[in-house]
Amino acid sequence: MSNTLQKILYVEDDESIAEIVKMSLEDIGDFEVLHCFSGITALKEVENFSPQLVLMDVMMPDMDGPETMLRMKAMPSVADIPIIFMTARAQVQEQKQYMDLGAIGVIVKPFDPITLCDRIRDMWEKS
Amino acid sequence: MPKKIISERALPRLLLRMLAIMIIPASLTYYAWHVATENLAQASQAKFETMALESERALRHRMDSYHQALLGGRGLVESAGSVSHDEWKAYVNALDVATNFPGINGIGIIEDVQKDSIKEYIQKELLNNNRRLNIHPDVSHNNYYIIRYIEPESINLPAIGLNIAFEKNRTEAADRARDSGKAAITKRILLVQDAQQTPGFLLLAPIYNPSMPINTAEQRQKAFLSWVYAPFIGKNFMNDLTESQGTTLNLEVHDGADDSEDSLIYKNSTDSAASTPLFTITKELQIMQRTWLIKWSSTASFESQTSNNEPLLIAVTGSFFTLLCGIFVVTSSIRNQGEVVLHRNRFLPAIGFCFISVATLFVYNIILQTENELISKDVKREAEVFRQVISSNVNNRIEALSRMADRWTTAEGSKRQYWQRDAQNLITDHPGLKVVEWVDPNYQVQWVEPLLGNERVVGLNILFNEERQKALEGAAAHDKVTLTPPLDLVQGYKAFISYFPVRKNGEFDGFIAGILSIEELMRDVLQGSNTSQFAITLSYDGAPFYHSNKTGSTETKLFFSEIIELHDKQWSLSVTPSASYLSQTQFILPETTLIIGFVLSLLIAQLIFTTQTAQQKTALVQEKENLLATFVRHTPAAVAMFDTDVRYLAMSSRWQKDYGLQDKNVIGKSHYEVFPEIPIHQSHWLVLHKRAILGEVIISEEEPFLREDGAIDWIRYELHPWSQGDGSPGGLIMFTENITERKKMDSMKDEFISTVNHELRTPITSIMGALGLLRAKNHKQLDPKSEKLLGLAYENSERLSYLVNDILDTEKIAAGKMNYDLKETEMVSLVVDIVEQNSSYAERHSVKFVTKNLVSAAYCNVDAHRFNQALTNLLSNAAKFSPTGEDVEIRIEITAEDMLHISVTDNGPGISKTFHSKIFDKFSQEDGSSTRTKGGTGLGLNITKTIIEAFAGEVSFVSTVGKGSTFSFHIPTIRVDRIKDIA
Repeated sequence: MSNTLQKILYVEDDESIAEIVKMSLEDIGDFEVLHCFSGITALKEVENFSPQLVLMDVMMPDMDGPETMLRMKAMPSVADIPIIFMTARAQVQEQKQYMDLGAIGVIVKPFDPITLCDRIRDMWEKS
Repeated sequence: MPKKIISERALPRLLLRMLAIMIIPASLTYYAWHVATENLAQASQAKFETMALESERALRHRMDSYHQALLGGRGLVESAGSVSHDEWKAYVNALDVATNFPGINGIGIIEDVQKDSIKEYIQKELLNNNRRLNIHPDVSHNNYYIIRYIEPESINLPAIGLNIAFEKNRTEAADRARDSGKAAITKRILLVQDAQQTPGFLLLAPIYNPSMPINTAEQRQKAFLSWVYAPFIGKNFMNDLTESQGTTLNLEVHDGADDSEDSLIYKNSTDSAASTPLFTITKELQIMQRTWLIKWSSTASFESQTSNNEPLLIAVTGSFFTLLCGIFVVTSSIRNQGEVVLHRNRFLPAIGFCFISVATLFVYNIILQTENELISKDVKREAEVFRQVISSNVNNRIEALSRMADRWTTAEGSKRQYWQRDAQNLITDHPGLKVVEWVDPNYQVQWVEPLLGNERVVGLNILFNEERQKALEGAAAHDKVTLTPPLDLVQGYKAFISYFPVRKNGEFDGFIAGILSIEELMRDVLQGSNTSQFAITLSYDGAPFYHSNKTGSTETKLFFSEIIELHDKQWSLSVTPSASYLSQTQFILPETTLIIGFVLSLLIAQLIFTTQTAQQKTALVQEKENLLATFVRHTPAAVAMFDTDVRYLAMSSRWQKDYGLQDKNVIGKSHYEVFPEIPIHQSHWLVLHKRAILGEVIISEEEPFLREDGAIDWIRYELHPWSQGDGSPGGLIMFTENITERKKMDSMKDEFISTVNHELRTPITSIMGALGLLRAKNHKQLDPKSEKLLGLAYENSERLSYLVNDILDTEKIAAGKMNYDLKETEMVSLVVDIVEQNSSYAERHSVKFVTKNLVSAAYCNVDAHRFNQALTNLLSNAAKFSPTGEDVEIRIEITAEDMLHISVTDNGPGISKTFHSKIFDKFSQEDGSSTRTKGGTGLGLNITKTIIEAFAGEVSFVSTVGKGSTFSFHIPTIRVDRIKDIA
């Protein structure tokens, strides 16, 4: 695994946000981003793509972020990939809950797309 | 509330009370009935005894009067020496046997003739009286007792010439009379002249030669002349002795001491089939030297007469009275049962008292009247008996004297010797007759018998006064007896004198006078009478002259008077019951009734009073209980009270409703019986209950409660102990609030807020992200206007984001759901970081944050994230309101009290004083107009204050209009490191 963060699997059901985040990550952070619209797709793609980080929305239809993460952690090949949640649920408790599940960080929506890449990188490096 | 007349619980108590009250009048009634019955039996017995006594007296009197008649005959024979048939006939005729001596068959003379003198005797009789005697039957022995005369002859023909010595009964009686000098009767015999041959007897009185002594049996045999005799047929003699005989009293007379059929002389009833009489008296009487056995028995008629209705009346009245008492108790109880008696009727005890008292007086009066009636009846009956006894006895003596006078007249005067013998006999035979006198036609006393002690009387002129003279002269003229009023005689006793005019050769020949001592006369008369029970008073012309009871006082209200007719005088007889009779007859019943009645009245009054008081107390308690019960029932919370065994004592309606107990009666039941799931699944409640009972107050804001059906109820509860009056644990009071619904609502609300949060933030995220990227990419490439517009769009989307955050926070605060993760946090670096994070915002407003730190490190117990939010609010406000280019100063200090002091000072417009008080209110902004320029929700300071207060801190501010404002946090520290070298 490279020492710098390059490959990010991004899971988000909202198209607009996904577009903006993708743009921010690719244009500002210069990351290689694979965007999946659902947790199920993400689970299918994650092994092939083998990202260094998974950035994942919490509230998604069919399979939400925490479940997707739990399933990933259950897949040995991808179990070690750090995961950052993005959520509109800004409550401290909820954030703590996600951290307890094994996430390395929580980014609260709305976020600043300019500083987003720096924050992700910080979190990734700290983990 | 349904109104029952008597509750089931009260019924046995009421019955008991009723019985208790009724037992007194019932006992009284029984006692009264018993006494009345006894009384009646005694009265009947007494009445019967009186009737028997009356019968006995009548029998004795009849026998005495016949004896008198015989003595009269004897007097005639003695005074005349011998009597011719005509003289005898005249004498007997004068007696008018049929009228005056009912039952007597005749009066005759029997003479003792030697067998060898019979012929001579018959010759003499033929010569003297021209009668041929048929002497019969012949006997072997020497003595013939021949009936010479018997008048009236017509009905006694078979007896003339009869030798009564033919039979030993007759002979024996004749010998006994002769030898004893007294009259004697034969045993039961059958008279020869009685065709029906019913039982009878002979009465024989001896006649002696007056000139010979008769002190011994031998002397009497020597002096004996003949017998005067009377034959009796039992049924004629005994018939109609008294009015009662045959109607209310049966009489049976036997000769001798046994009551066999052979000895029967008389029996008025032949009805042997009659039932056994209730009352009988058997008595042996000494009658003319023979013993008679007399049997009196009551008749059915008497028994039915004497059974009066008094006991029945008492029983009925008493029962009625008892019933009234019972009804009184019941009605008063029922009246008081139906309603809550807070105000008792003060008059009820008095009414009860009066009611029973009046009833008592009524009963007392009835009993008293009945008793007096009974006594009056007795007195009246006794008075009649006394009247008869006195009248017959006195008249009997008068008649004896009268016959003496008749003999004087018949014999044309008398020899003094014969007169004396006659008088002596009279005095001997008639107790009370003290002196017999012959008064000559000149009204001077000539002969006196006995002379001894009466010597002064001889020669006395008896015409003492005009009245006496008139009476005596009148008597002489009309040949009638006259009696003096009762007199105090010179001899020293009280007496009355009867004067009988006598004639000689048709001329007035003075009087035979008899002096009768009233005291002695009455003593004899009243012998065997009921003088211990009744007192009699005799008066003449209104002046009493004799009292039978000389000492004891008697009841004067109950007396009865009778008139005793004695020839030309009238005595008044007054009979009063004696004290001893009254004590026997007057029972304690009336007084007892009165006392018990009054005691009962008092008891009833007392009972009513206490019952009322108790009822009133109970009612008051009941009312209080009702009030409390109502209060508890309607308490708008689920409250229940339990005893130390956690059994239900009371509960509110809400409790019943919350736990589905509406239709169940759980009072008295264990809480664990009502909710069996508690000991099974929620056993910790048992511990909680125990702790509460022992005095602990336990409060829980929310706790799940697993119901039996598996459902979970969320409850908030409080357990409080309660104590008894003596301070000992009474149990616990449980207050619960079923917050399940609220919990549901809360969770729905949370869900809603969460959803709104997400749904609002998602587009804001897109907008802000897009604008942010656009600004970053096209920096310096856009014309200034476009860039300004882009900036405005970004700022406002940012503002919208804050607004959403603030609104959600405010919601959380309002719902009490703002959660703080309090941790010991180093505040200086935290403040510096936050200032740093917000510096870009300051730059946007062209201001600069300047931190003045006087502390190296300070540790406080805060939630860093929330502190960030609070301080950010102050910083953004300061940045917003500072004029361009100005500094915003952030100071970090530690006060003397080790409080962390963080202040943010701007040089803005300041806050007007009028707004100072509203600055921390929700949605408060000084510039409330729609044209305000600074933005913000007006929620920031409110949220800030709430957060800082959650850290036990305070928010304050100082502001001067035109100069700026300083907002400060004061937060207690845990520990502090001060920087010493900073000024």
